[in-house]
Amino acid sequence: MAAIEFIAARKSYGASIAIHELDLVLPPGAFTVILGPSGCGKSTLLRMIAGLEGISGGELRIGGARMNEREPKDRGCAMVFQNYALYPHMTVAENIGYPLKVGGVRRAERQARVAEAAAALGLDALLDRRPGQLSGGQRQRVAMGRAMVRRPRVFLYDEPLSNLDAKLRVQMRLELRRLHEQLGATSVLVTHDQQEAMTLADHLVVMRGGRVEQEGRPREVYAAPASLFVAGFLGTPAMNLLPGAVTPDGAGLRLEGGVVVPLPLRLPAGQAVTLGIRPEHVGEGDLEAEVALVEDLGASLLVHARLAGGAAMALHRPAELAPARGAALRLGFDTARLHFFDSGSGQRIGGEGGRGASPAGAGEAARRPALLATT
Amino acid sequence: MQRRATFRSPWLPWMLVLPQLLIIFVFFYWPTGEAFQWAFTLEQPWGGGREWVGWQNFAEVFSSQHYWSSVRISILYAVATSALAIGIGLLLALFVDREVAGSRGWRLALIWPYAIAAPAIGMIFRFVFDARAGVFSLFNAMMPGLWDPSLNGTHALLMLILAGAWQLVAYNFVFFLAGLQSIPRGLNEAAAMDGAGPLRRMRDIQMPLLAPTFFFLVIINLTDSFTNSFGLVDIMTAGGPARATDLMVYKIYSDGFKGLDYSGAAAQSIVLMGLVVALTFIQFRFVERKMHYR
Repeated sequence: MAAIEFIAARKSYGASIAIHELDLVLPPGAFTVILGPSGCGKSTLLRMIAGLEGISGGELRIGGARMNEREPKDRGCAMVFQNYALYPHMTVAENIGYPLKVGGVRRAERQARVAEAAAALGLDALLDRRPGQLSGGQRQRVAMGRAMVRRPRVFLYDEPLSNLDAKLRVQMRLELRRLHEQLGATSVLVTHDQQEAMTLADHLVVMRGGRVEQEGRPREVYAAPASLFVAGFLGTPAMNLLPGAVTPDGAGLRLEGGVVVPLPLRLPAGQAVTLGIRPEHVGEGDLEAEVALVEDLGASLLVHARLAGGAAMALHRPAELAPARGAALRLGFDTARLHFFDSGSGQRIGGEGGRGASPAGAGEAARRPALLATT
Repeated sequence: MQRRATFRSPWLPWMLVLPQLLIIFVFFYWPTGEAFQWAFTLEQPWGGGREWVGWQNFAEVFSSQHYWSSVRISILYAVATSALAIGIGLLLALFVDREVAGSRGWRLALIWPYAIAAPAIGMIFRFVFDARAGVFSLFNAMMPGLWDPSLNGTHALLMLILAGAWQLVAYNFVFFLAGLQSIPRGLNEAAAMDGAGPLRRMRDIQMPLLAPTFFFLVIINLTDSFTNSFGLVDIMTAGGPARATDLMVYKIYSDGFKGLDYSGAAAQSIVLMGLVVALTFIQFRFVERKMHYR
């Protein structure tokens, strides 16, 4: 098992910077998911690990050894591409066996290893087909087989599930996780789908604009987002974010519309602060609201309500208690579940959020000093 | 996206395509019809009508020893020229596709030769390969009799092949480069991750995926070598020495317009046309269908 370390690594194309100076450790043997909106540099990061993009500055280490100058094939990485990149002129067996063929493995052993990989992925019956004759999910498996067969130290996945339909995506997600557990190699997956990230990751890295916004265990990142960006990006439906200002006595937050929420800590009077609360944490209380729209999610309801003063608020309700549109609600927040962010800088205020640096069992990586927190 | 022009008058569309149809008719169908007519008739010696002779012209052509030697030379020329032009075109395209330094400039430079008229190329190559001037006069001075296309038939044919190939390389290069650039980048990257070096990737990934382009070019090159070599032959060797470069297309001209055997020449041109039609048929029937993946 090999850790992947970025030490002050940079990537720029001429004047435009894709990855700002980056210090990041992806723990060995873990399933790391790099999450971010398109254009945040996450794919570039993956391709830097693979060796498909050069590194403009700093260092990349895999398993402790410097990788900057090594060819892709010498890094011990295998990659599954977004469009699978299967060789259209080769059969499934030839596709899976190609890395071994190039590596000079004897025919008999090659066939045995291809058969082994095919069996693990349920591809036995398809070995003689060409990629053009396969469905999306099957192509995906072939791409994974081609990656597996080399027994690499590191698996790299570049949005591998984004071309599949919703049902297949969930199924392949499970399979990816199962394979990871079976193979025990370090896996890195890039995605813009936060649900995929939450479910797959041992270690979650949220990126934005070529920098790491937050990293840690998915649960920790979800429970204590380090910034407004992470808070809004992670979770469906998104966290409710309500702008406001600290009251003159510094003990409360006056939301737009006049509602005052008590602050758990003292803040300078007048500071612009955004309150965050996840829809599942909105309970009953004495805040007046009116139902604007109800979405039936099947297992539960998602209620879009409007607070007195106009601020919008989404909340979950059990499926049985469907409120009518226009009905009056009385909402309340569990103060322990509230998040506060500086509206100007977007940084989290108070709580153990920080950069997800909760001491409880966070990987070695999570204990590294925060990148963004220092800026 | 369906864009269809609609015309109010039923005549307008026909009027618009008329010039093109006229050109095709005057310069293609009409001469072809005339050739057929000549091929099956014989002209009276001092004019005064033609006489229908059936297959007699063809029988005469096929029983001629010179004709068969011309066919042999033509096939040799076509195969050698195509092989050389395709090989070099592919090699150049592979290198330019790898974005070697200055490949943008090379790309432009490599496309130009196709725009040069055959007689101009013939003229240049005639000077280049002249036994009594330039580089080869120097070699001949060192080793007398080493090179003389005006006396040695093999030398003459070789010179013709080189000139023909030089002209076709540019054309092939353009098609190969387009073919290479239509191969998804991901495939190359995947192969790189799988451990294949640049040469291995060319062999295992790029060449097989270029197969449709390759076979298309084989047919085009062969056809072109059979039909378009007149300009080169006329300028460089005029069929000589001793009929050593008397390609089919040149023989049609020399028999018809120099030997004044219109009927024999017409029969020969029908045979050549049949050959080109056959090649085109192979192209559409087998190659186009089989060579596509996905």
